[in-house]
Amino acid sequence: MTTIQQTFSDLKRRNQKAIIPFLTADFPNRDTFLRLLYELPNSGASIIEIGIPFSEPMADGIVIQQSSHIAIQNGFSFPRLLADITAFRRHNTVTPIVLMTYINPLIHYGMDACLQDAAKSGVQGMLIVDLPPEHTNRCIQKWHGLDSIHMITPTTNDRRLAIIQEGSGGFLYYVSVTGVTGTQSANATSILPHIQRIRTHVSLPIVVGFGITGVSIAKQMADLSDGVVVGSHILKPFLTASTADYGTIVNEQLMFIDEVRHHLDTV
Amino acid sequence: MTIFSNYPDSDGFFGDYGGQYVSETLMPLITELNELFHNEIASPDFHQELAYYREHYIGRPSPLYHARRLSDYCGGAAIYFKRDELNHTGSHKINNCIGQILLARKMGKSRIIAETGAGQHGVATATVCALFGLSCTVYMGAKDIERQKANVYRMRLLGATVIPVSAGTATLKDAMNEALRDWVTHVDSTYYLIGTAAGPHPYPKMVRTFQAIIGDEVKTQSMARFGRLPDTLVACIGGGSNAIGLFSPFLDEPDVALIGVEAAGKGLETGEHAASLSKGSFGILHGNSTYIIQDSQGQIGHTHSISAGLDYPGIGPEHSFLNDKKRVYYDSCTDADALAAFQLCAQYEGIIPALEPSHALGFVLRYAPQKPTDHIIVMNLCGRGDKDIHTVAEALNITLV
Repeated sequence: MTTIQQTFSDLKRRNQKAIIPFLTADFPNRDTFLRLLYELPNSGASIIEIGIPFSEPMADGIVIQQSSHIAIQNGFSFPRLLADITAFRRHNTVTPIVLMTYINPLIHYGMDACLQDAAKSGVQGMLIVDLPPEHTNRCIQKWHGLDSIHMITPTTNDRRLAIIQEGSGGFLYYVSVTGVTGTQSANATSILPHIQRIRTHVSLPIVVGFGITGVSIAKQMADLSDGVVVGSHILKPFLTASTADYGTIVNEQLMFIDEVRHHLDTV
Repeated sequence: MTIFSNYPDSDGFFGDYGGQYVSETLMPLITELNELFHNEIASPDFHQELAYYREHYIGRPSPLYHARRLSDYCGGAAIYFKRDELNHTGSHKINNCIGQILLARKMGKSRIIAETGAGQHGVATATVCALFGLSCTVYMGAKDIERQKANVYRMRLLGATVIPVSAGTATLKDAMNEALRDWVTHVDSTYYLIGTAAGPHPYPKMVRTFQAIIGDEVKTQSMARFGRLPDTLVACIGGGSNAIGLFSPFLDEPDVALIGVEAAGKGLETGEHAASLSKGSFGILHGNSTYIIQDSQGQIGHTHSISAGLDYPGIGPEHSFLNDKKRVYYDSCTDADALAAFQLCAQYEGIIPALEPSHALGFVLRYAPQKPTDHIIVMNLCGRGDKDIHTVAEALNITLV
């Protein structure tokens, strides 16, 4: 059983849903990012998704575009992120980390070295937004123990579900809206039939992301699935804040995740 | 020996280059498009419809013109222009737009989006949307809107909505990012009409197929005029649609030399250029693997060209393949040489070329003098230069009245 599978099985035993915050690495700066990484698990985060910033974030809305841009300006480097994760692992051995990225920075680093180094530093899963399962074998020979996380969208048909299921590990990431991250709210009524259809094809846990803009929508989505990903909503306040306010915002965002945890755990 | 016409393979790869590197939302749609495209190009009805619009709407075939005074000026090879700037809308871009719009209609899409650099593809897209009564939205970098104002106004006259993109470097790549974001958001209603020979499969093959009319005509015209094929074909390259259109029918004719000309901007050693093959490395951008200009972390690099249409950090995947196979020789031309060629063409031939083919001409002016007089060069004059007069005037420090 992989660490991610263990996490979902523990959650299930406790009758809980997964909360997966998304952080852009080194945003708004490295210290603040690391503080969130270290403290989110105490507020009820089950898994942390870390976005590797890319200069051309084609599937992302304005918040993650800007956060990526700032992270690159802050001098983001992949080896340094892995060193930071290695240090984090000395402090926390249970909360899985999933890296989410576009393929180009990984190719440039060297795909195999990248997966191997990520696994060594304590990463459990990898989600490559623009690598469809059809091309995975061409780009990746060995996962080095990492789970390959894939997205399923409202446009995914049954034929593609089968292809995706075959190449997937850990969990499936259901994209609740056709669109980019952080731009519109998900709608539980329209999503339910999709999730039900997916359930008949796949056995992996399903988490819902994109458009999780508040506590009540998180609750609705978690009720339909095995958990939620919260990204833009956590990052957005930092974009307009001054450096002096980052500490306060971190506290607010930790309280927000705390509140989501409380609502999700309340039947 | 490589049979070039066998590429791409069924997964959309030209050797290591190409593919379908897109997010899951778009995969079902491009799979559907791929099937439709291959069915349609096997259908005589589709070709008949295409032929109709090529003849009566675009005004094809375009002439193959002997540029005598420029040939004399160079004192070497005979220089011929393939006059694709005489097409309706003033560039080769319309060839592809007519083909893709017919497919979009068959898919039942009511809304068309496009990216544009110099605005030529945007104008051609807005034109075919007007022709068929479809809604049209064009994404264009804010920097390009500034340097191509005339084309922005043309698009608006044709009924298109032009959306400025100020993210990133505010040029063609950013317009393409934004068009892709629009597409994933409106995937049910919308067709993305990509203008260059890049993007996820089947786009590079589709664009090549619809642009190959350029090379097909050159072949026919050369046999009729010279009783043989030309010796050398030259075309400028940004993403590479006009070049692949000219080259593709000749790829398996080993005696014809093929030369692509990238934008060297202020010089290849200055870091201010858009020469992906000369200065780029393997990467994946906008749905395909290819050579791209990037930094040590795999972040996409800054590019520069006086020509908005060549100011792009990638290149169509087939060009990367043809470069590695050494079937096409890729050279480059600076802003300054392109500007000189632009003026020379106007003054010696009475033709004002766009800044993009002025790069091809800049190379031809260097190359032709080294060749004998019986050597035939065909250069794709893929666009006219009316849109560029403000940029050129500014570069030459001339104030327009």
